[in-house]
Amino acid sequence: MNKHMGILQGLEYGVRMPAALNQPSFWILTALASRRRHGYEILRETAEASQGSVSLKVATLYAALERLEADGLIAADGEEIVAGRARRYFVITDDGASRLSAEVEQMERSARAARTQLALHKFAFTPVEGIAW
Amino acid sequence: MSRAVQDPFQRLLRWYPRRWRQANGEVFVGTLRDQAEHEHRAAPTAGDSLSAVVNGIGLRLDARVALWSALVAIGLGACSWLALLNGLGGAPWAANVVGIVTVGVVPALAVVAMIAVMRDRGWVTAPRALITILALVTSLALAALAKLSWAQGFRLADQNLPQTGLADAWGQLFVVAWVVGAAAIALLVDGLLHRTRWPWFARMPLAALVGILAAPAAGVALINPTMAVVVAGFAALMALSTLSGRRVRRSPAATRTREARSSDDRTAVRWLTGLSAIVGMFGVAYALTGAAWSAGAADGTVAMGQGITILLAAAIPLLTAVALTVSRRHGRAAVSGPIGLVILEVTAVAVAYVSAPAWDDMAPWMAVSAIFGGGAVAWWAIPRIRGPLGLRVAVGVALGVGYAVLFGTTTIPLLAFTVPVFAVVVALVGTRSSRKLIAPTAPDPTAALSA
Repeated sequence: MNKHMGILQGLEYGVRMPAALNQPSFWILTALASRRRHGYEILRETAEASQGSVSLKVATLYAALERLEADGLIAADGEEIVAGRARRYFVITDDGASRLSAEVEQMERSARAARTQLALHKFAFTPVEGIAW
Repeated sequence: MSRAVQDPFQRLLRWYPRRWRQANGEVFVGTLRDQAEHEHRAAPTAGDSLSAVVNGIGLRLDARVALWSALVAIGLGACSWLALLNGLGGAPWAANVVGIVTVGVVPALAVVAMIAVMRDRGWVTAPRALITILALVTSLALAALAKLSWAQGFRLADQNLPQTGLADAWGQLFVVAWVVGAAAIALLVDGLLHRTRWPWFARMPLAALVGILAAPAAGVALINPTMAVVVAGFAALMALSTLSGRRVRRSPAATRTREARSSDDRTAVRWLTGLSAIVGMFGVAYALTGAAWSAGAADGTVAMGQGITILLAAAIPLLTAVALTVSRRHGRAAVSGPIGLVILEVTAVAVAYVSAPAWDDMAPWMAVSAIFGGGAVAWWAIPRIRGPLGLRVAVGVALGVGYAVLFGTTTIPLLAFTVPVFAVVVALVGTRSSRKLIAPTAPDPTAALSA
């Protein structure tokens, strides 16, 4: 984005960009980026990858999964019965992978811009230990 | 009690709609059990339960709930107006019932319909939709109480009595209704903006500002039954469109039908609109100045009534021109039927205004005109809205009844003075020479020669 872009242009840019992923959607796509997973695996992977900053409830997880599936970003990939419990696997789609990549790129651009501004203002950029991003 | 209901994990499923339970119930419970086993629990946590309750109830707010809420709102609104027009049948309790329905039930149902259709379309999440509905309905209830408080305050003031009880609480009720309504609207607007990339410091103040400014206007508008019925009608159309789940695809044949406009039609439109414009302008002049020069107009009021009759007569060729101009892709009957009924509606109003200002003589004709108008709205809507036939008929009839009861006796007289303007607009639109028959593309036989 042009650094001289005005507020209104910035807002217009914000509207025209693909809708921002919310936290649950971002972490669910991240959890599925490496391989297919079932519901509880997604919960665990999300909590681990976000270092505990995101802790989804099961109801919230399934609401988010339903929305992502409707948007074509993930797809159901079969069901299994394990120890009498039904497990449905989910897999990220090509659209989902592109969407996650775009989101990550956007975050990196934002982070670069922030670092640049901090450097201009003579503050040293010091990443805090234990924070993923 | 069945085993399924005794199981604490299964019990959470009760909050979800049946269709969702059938599709996801086993997997949902399996995930809850996996997590509980890992955390050495035998039951869901309070957080899991609350989340299931909010998401489950929120998911029940779908297009079907929206449609039926809207239809009930329209039906109740129409019945209430009919009851008011009939003087409430002389029953003393009827005024309270109609008051509660028009100021409380109809606006609440309209709000439920609008939010449910937004939830179904994915514009807001299920928990946000549920919280917004609860807050908006609370705000509307407080606004209705504020309205009652205001009316009671006036009564007490007329009797020179001190403002006590409900009458004394108007200020507090209004402020609390405003705050709760503003919070609900802000929550909704923030949810709608959440999908943009606007940062929170742009999104949240904007949502709060919209909430603060819109809450009093929306509250005052919604506790007016006419506006609530209009909102419900809009929600019904959106819900039906969502339920149908498909967009109208214009076939090439339909496009050709829409665009085709013969030169005979254009000539007829030109003559009809010209006639409307000339007679309509005479009607305006007569209504405003007839008392000064016409022997038939005893005073300004009579001249105004006769002028409106002339204007409505001028509307008949205009409506015929409209029938020749609008798209016929839903069939000839879907155009000529409703427009024919509008012509009958206009004729009935014109006849009524011959007796103006004697309302007793006008009233039967105005009632007839409202029935024709309602029929026209229903007939126009049913072929054009989307969805299963039964639902389309239900929505069309609800819209027709809503129009007839709420607007049937006021719309046509109000629009009478716009006849000359509409005549010019229809003349410009309906006689454009750019409208040509779209024929299938054929190879140009001269192209080979020129090559």
